[in-house]
Amino acid sequence: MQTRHPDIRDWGVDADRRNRPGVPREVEPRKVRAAWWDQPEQQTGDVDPARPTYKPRTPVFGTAQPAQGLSGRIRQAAYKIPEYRTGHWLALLFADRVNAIEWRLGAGRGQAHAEPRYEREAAGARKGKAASLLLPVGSALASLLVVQRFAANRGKRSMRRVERERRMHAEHRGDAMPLGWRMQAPEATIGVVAREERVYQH
Amino acid sequence: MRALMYERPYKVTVGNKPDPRIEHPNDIILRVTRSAICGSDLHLLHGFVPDTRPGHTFGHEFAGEIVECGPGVRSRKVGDRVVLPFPIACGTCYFCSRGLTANCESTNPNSDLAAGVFGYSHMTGGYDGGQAEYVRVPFGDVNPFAIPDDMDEEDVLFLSDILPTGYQAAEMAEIDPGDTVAIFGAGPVGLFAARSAWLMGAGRVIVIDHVDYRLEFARRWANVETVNFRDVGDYGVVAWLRDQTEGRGPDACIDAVGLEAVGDPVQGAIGKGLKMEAGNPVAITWCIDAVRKNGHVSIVGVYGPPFNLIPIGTAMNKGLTLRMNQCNVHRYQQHLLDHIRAGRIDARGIISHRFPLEDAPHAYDIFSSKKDDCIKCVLVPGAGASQVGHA
Repeated sequence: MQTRHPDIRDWGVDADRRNRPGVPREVEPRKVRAAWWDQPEQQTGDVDPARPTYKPRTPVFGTAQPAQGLSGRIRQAAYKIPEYRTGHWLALLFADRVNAIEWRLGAGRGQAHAEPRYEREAAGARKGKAASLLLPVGSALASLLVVQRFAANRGKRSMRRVERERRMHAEHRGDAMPLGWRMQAPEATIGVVAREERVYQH
Repeated sequence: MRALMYERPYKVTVGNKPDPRIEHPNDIILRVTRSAICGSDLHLLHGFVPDTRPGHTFGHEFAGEIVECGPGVRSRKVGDRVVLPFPIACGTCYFCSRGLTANCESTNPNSDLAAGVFGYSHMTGGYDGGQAEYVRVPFGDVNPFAIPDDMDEEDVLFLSDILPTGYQAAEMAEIDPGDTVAIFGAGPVGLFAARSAWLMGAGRVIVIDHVDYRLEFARRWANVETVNFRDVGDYGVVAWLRDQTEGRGPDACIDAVGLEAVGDPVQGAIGKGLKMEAGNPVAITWCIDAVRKNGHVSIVGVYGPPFNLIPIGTAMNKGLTLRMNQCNVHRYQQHLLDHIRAGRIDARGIISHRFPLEDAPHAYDIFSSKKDDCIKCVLVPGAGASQVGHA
């Protein structure tokens, strides 16, 4: 195998890792370029960006297209779901599709007057229309699945909490918790309980 | 001002918007003179990125002239010509001060997953982008990078994103002299990653794609070997790469494709059709499967939340090192400017099309559909159709 390439201009000029700006990955802390502040001033203004409930406003933020209307309400609800849950992102995608419909109906154009200049060419336009139908339907189905799953999880969590508390009280009283004990499940969560049985019945 | 605006998946228009204004003492306002369309803009256009709101102006690769400075800006003045990194960095937070400006914690109130980014939805802070006549730029002392007087905007335009991203991709692949590097994707980032791999001393550079004209361009522009993964028989590109490397696989693989890959119908149907995962991760899958044991996989292709189905068990059992990040553009710009000036990287050489801003939807169409042998589109705000043309 050829390992040197005299035919390629300046081959290997950054072969020494000390010549690579990203090595090491983290450098000794220092300010970037001409930053002169220690803590940037807080941006003010009328717009309070929709954001996760646990996150404060960052020192600067974008003010373009503030959340409003029905899609804005969905976005506010989405931001109450933690980011590590799929439902957060699917709800945002769903809000995007609702927002697109609002836009077509004319809402939100007060600050930005769109003037369509090009429609996609015929094949592209057909694909775009098909996709614009597929995406909201897919998102809605996915959101339903997630909500269903989320509801099941909530049921499972509340059952586990009750179970844990009963075990703690029992231990506090000195009662032994019989093997195979389980709380009676409501009918809607039979599947969940079946899994819990496997935990306690061995 | 005139600006590109997103309307719905697969639909953008150009219309009128209010001019941006100073909203923070450290803001500047930039008159945009060049603005490129990035492959990751297509993820927004195609509706893959959550919290992309109608009316949003895309564009995170742009250069221009400062027309207004906030009262807190000390090192820049009206009239300066600058190019902007796509991540918006504060310059002093925990991450910025350690060189990780793409992970700045002061500019994105909407999410923990990235810094603020120009024109990349509210998932990255809700900043309008540079495919417009004017744009608001936060932290004018940190983000703009001066364009040398003897250089044109187009010489340095790609210092905004794709050139540093390609370079960082090669860097994260931890290339040693003589290594074989496989790069998935012959788009602009893949091309720059290939050129960077040579500068880092790679022994072989192989670029994989399915678009023949892009592979031909890669051979010509970056002196690399290429393969069309649809032409390598029943066992596919992973087996072909092993055949090329004594059965072991390349020392490093780079994913320069992202979530809109093609090549696996099942992942495509689940991820791109039904959106049950964040696009199609076939490029990562092939990287993990193809690279040699204890090799490096470098990911710069863009993937959005919520998740992707990738063979992490294979990666674990092969002892791979996976490295990835959005690009910390600020730390690469001077180094890569030196490479451009020395003629080692012909950055403007990948521009295939130029359009007035008014023609941006058409530019998106040909870039997205890979028509007219399109490699890279650049928009020229304020120009008429007669003032711009193909490369």
